[in-house]
Amino acid sequence: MRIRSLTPLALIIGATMGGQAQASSDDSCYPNWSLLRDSLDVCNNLPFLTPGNDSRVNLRLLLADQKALTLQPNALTEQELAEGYGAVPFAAFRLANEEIEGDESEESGAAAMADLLGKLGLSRDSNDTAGQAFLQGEGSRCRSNRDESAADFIGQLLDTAGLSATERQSLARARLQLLDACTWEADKQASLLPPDVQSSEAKAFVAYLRAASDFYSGRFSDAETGFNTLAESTQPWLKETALYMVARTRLNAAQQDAFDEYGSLKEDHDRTAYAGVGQAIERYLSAYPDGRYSRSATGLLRRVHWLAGDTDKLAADYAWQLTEAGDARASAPPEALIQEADNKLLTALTGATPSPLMTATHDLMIMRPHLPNRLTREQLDGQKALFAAQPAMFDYLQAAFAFYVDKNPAEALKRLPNDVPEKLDYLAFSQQTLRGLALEDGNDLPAAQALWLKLLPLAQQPLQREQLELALAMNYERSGQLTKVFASDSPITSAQVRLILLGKVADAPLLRQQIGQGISDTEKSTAQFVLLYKELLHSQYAAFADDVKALPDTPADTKLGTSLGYVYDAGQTLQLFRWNGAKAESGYACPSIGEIAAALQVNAKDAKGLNCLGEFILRNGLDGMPLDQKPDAGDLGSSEPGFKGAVFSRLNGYQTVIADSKAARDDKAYALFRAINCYAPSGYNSCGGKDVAPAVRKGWFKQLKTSYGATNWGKSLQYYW
Amino acid sequence: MTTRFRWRMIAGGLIGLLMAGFSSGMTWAAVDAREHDAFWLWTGVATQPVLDQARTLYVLQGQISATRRDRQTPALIAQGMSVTRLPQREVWIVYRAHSLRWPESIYKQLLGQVQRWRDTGTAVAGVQIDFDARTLYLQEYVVFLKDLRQRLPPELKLSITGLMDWSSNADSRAIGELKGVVDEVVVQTYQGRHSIPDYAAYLPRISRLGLPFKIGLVQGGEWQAPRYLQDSPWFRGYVVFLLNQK
Repeated sequence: MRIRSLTPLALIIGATMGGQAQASSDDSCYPNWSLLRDSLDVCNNLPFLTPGNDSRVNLRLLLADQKALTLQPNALTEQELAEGYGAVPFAAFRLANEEIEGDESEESGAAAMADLLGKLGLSRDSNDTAGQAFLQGEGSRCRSNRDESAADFIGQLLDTAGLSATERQSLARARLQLLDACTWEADKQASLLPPDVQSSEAKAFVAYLRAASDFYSGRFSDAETGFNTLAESTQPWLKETALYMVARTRLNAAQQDAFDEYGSLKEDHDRTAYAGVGQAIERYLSAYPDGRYSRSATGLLRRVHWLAGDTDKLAADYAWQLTEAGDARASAPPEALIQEADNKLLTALTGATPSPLMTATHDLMIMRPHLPNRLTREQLDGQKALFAAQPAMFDYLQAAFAFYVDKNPAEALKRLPNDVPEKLDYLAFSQQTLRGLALEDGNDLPAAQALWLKLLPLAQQPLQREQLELALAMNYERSGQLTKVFASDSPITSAQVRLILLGKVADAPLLRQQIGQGISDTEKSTAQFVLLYKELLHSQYAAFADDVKALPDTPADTKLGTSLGYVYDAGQTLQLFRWNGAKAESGYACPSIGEIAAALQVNAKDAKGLNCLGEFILRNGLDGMPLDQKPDAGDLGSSEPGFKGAVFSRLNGYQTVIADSKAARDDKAYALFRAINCYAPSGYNSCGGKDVAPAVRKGWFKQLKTSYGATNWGKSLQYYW
Repeated sequence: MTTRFRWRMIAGGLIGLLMAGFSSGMTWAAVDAREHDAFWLWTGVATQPVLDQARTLYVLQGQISATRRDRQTPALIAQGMSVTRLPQREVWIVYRAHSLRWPESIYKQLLGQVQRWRDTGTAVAGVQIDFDARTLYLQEYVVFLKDLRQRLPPELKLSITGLMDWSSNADSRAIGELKGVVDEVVVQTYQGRHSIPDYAAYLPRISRLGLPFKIGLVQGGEWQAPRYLQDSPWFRGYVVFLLNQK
């Protein structure tokens, strides 16, 4: 079996960092088939509000209920399918379907600029600008020094009546030159600004350029003074822009020493200056509520609140941006805001905020176990007033607390509504899901089953139905009603759910039934594969001989991969059961698998038969076969398997041969050779069965080299491990 | 963020202990970043005191992936810290690639950013590409890397991260072609938070690839150096992936 693919570095991001590099979904994740999880796993989320979900998923569910966004899970990618995913559970990034968009202003800015320069009779040598050299998402105040903003400036030159033609040209030329860089020493700066302008309008534009270049150069005090001189400018663009730039300048000045050299916010940075920044932004916003920079200014305010550590205001910012601002006023698309809220607010919060949305999301996060500041009952009770307008949400948090923190399902049930509403938004769906889980936790499997069945026709929102199918399947499994999953009128059609149950817990009669009645060719072939494989590996040779008769002499070579529990490109085909043993790679000849099984049916300790069953496993890569791995307790497929008893292990087979005094010389030598090789080359046993001590392996080696030294195997083996 | 790291650490730690306890007589040591001087610095990882002793840093700066708007043409999205002057002797600028079909604009932006790093006075050793080159894409990757090598200023080196299963399954001819194209491969020996139990079986093959290689470890993960490692003429030391410790 191929080990799960090792994604360099990316896996760490996918698994632990969650957010920041999730634009693509090709970082490795694997599904975990359970509805009960109280700890974060970004690879496994469910469409109901639970502490086990990534906070961004819970936030999206709440926003979907408020109609602030539509939940649109991305289609499963080829990679996710190869990792074994179905619709539910899902990795957090399956809901992240708006990516950081490209910068469209770049092209439109250049076009506008070309147009304006044409009117002035100017041309430019290069379209490169200092601001455009940055990457999308890269942070620098210099980014705004680009065509778009320069075109605004030059457009104003054309529209300002008091300027002479020469002044327009020299001011435009100066602005173009400033696009080349972002830092100028004072003398260089002076040489770039037009020295010879006469009109008061032109002087105001020069003052603006001086202040702007001071700003980019990091001379914030000079910049602010310069912008302030334009506060009463009669040119409306200059007046508005200068007022906005005062706020931006103050922000840049205030945060100068806030970060260490690696870009981390210093814990002890000076927060006193942010009040003045906030005032400047508010001054702009009250003068220009729908101004040309009001969207940007609102965004800057969020940054101020973050830098100042004002989590109450920051929470209100995100709630407003996500639920009230709308496309026209929001600073960023919901995807970016959700990500930012997670990074900048939710993971840093220590208590409640005035925003019910953010507080509920955070409460669920801190219901996870092993946290130093886990939510307490007192803290939650203290939030009652905050949720006054959303009593159902508050009740749900109380129920979740009872269930996940207090481990008291009976108490959770008391706080959840008994009646199932006609429409299931995600909160109502969460209430009912938690009710079902609490019933199951209290061992009332029949009541939970009835609830899952009742909810099925009501599940209309994305992913709800798939979660219910999983819940119902697990309920049937644990209730000893596995056959109901596969009944002809079963509502459970999720392929992976059915295949896992066939692979892990189905007994022989059910597998035989599904060979004929499977809902797809894959299910039929999988049932047949599982049946034959388990009969062989559980030493049910007579049944194998019977069942293999249904297999054509040349079975289809369709690969069964994830349906057997493999990931990526690993898998097997039904041709496995027509293995003829002919290759004899190590010079030990074996008959076909059918003949091997027949020999073992006659004598379960047949030396040749045991060695050859080992050969069948070895040559077909069946060591560590996923079908033999039992899922963790509580996961889908973890109940009592339909095939009883131990699984054959190669190591055990070889040991039986080694201990068999009647075994033929070659059989015994080969068993020794193979048993020693079970530990090659790492010292780990790869053959299954109970580990043996190094001293035993040493004994085998000695025996092989002395008693069987003349055999090829005795000659060829130089080491033991 | 901190809560996530904490949980992963607990989970990974337990698995590691179990492996150590039952699978072998080897003693596995936890990777203590203080014993190393080369680190990966990824997005969202807070500054740690060990950075003061770092001689080599691999700094994530961008991710290349397709956008929703345009599935065909990938874009370069900034990641990690701002361009600044770093004191380490050797700084590698790392880009995580989800796609190899880069438009010209990405090369221009990437090389421009690397130049901005050099302009700060940081000792930029070269560029590292972190790409999940499954065997399937290996040939395409080699072609890509040869082209990238041509585009890089000659004084800059090219490093790539490598997969363990390259050495077992990969087309050895394709790997062989990397010689003279990449200056080093940093091989990852961990999965999530713990080292891969089979690494001892893989590494001998890696050391036979004929390429200078480093071993990537994860902070707090487990690691036991195989004896032959120090004898390999191609082994160039360790790089530790830093994680938030809170």
